[in-house]
Amino acid sequence: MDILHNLALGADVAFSWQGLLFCFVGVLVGTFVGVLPGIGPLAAISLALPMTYYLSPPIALIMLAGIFYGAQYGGSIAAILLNLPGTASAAVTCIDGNQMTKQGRAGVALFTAAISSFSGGIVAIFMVLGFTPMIASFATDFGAVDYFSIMLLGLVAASTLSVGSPLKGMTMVMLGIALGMVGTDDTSGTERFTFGALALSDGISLVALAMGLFGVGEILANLGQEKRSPLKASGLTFKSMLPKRHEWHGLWKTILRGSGIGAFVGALPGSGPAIAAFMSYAAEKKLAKNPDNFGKGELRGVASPESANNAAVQAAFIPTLSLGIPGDAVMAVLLGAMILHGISPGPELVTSNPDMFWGLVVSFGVGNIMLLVLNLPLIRLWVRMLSIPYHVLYPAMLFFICIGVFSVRSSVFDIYTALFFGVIGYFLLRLRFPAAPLLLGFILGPMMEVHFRRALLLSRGDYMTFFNSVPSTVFLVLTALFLVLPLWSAFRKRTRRVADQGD
Amino acid sequence: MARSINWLQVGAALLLGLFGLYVIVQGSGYEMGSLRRMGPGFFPVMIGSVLLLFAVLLVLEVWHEEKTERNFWIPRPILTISAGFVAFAALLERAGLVPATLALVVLVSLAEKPVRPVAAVATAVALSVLGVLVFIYGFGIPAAAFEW
Repeated sequence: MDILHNLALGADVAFSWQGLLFCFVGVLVGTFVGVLPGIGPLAAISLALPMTYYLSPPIALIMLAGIFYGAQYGGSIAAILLNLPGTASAAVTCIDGNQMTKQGRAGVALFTAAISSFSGGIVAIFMVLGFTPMIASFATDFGAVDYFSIMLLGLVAASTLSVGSPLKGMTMVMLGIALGMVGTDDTSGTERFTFGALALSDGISLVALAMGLFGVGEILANLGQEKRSPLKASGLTFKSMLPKRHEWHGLWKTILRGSGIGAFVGALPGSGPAIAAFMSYAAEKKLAKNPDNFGKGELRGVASPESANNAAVQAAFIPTLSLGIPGDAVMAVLLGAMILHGISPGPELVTSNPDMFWGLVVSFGVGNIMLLVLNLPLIRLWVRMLSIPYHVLYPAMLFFICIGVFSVRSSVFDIYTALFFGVIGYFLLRLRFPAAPLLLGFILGPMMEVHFRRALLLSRGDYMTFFNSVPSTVFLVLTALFLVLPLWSAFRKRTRRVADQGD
Repeated sequence: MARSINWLQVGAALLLGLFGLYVIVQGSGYEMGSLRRMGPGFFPVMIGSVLLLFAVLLVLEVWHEEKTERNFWIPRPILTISAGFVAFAALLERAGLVPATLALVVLVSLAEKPVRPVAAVATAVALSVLGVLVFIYGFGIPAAAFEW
């Protein structure tokens, strides 16, 4: 069978010594940054990106992807023990996970989180296997109009589905596109917004922007905070981690539901693992016989978001690998990594770089098994990691940011760029402007401009060309829905408030 | 009930609007071209206009938003980290990676009170060694440990 042949090809890549080694390095680094609050997978991937130049593209991608899903495992540890989400997607896990810690059931919560993450990952890997080649073959006829429209859909979905104000999200997207225009215009060769600076003629460095916004910005925000709570976790033995029989009862259904919701939500453009975890938790609470237990240390409140966020992370590879369109900011950076490695992402990727696609998918399976081992017997090692004092950690992180940014293109200017966006990122964070849509706009913006100009060139300046293609029309209708939906819910909230006041 | 205006949020929105305006003005300086054959100025003007529009809507949205920004202005971490980055960037190619790393780590360690001099110096030395081994010998980045 064809798929067996392809899987064998993937196994060749994933089980080569480099494949195994760098997959392990990836998931190890991922768990590490996931455990530590304040560094997310995004900063870690941007940091590791320059170091992958020395690897072959499939191996580089295997490692970078490992960081992303490894962080989902690690993120739950800090969430459960410290009530601090190690990654944004673990925020929901805090609710019940930390309650369980207070009740002395931290071990059970950690065990369930690891098992749920693993199941979520496995379910989603099968979705990636099944859907990516299918979507890719469907998308081979896509023209410039279709690409423009689906990118627009991705950007609008990313900004309106995020937590907080949709308008702020969309403003950030536009800001990102504007920043993406800095540099030499591909079509005409004109230098735009460079202020005559040679260092800007290649545009703003993606790594400097990402590390500034998500690395330096986060560190500044942490330093500005009042005291952080110290760690209180002891007596964690493997035996104390095993749930009791009545706790297990029916838990697998929760995990399956969470995985399903996560995989589906994660595959949509624009919705990341955080939204998947949130939606899964909300659904589980609605379905539960005793919803009052949620928030008071309910085991399902841990299983549900943890299975969903890891499923979402794996499924997020579907649009990236099949269409070349990243669903969220982390995927956008991974896409940037592919481009830097000379791989043009798009529907041809599966057929033109089969070793890359199938190798990556097989490595997901390998990586998830490694993570299960890393997170169950070795859990105490990670718990100890939480006691690294911040006054040692943040100077080290800033050092890695500086040297990482520099090493991408040996440019001292990029260090200043990272600092500049770090300060901006801090203020954005404090003012609750989401920075992820900015990064997505920055990466998709230049591609959108190219497709937009090509589409109108082909249609001789007729805007209706965007409605002459069926896929493009569908994407634009969906975009319109995403734009109207938040307005509608805001309107309903307002009328309800008026009604309440009327009582 | 008259609620107070959230000037911080409004100010941020206004800044974004100003930036949009700048993109339009600067963008219109490039060749616009026609719809059929767009010049490099078309897309910037389009994006700048949408940014300006969103910023104006945002001013309306955040006008009365609840003020939850605490500890907004944190001069100490911002200044020390800026100083560290500038020192690193300035020293890297002139004095080498080791002096640059020492300056960076010591300066950013001042961001938080209480300052721990021993821990800061120890971290700085450890990172210098790591940096030289991993980045100069391992990855071969174009910088020297010491620039003479």
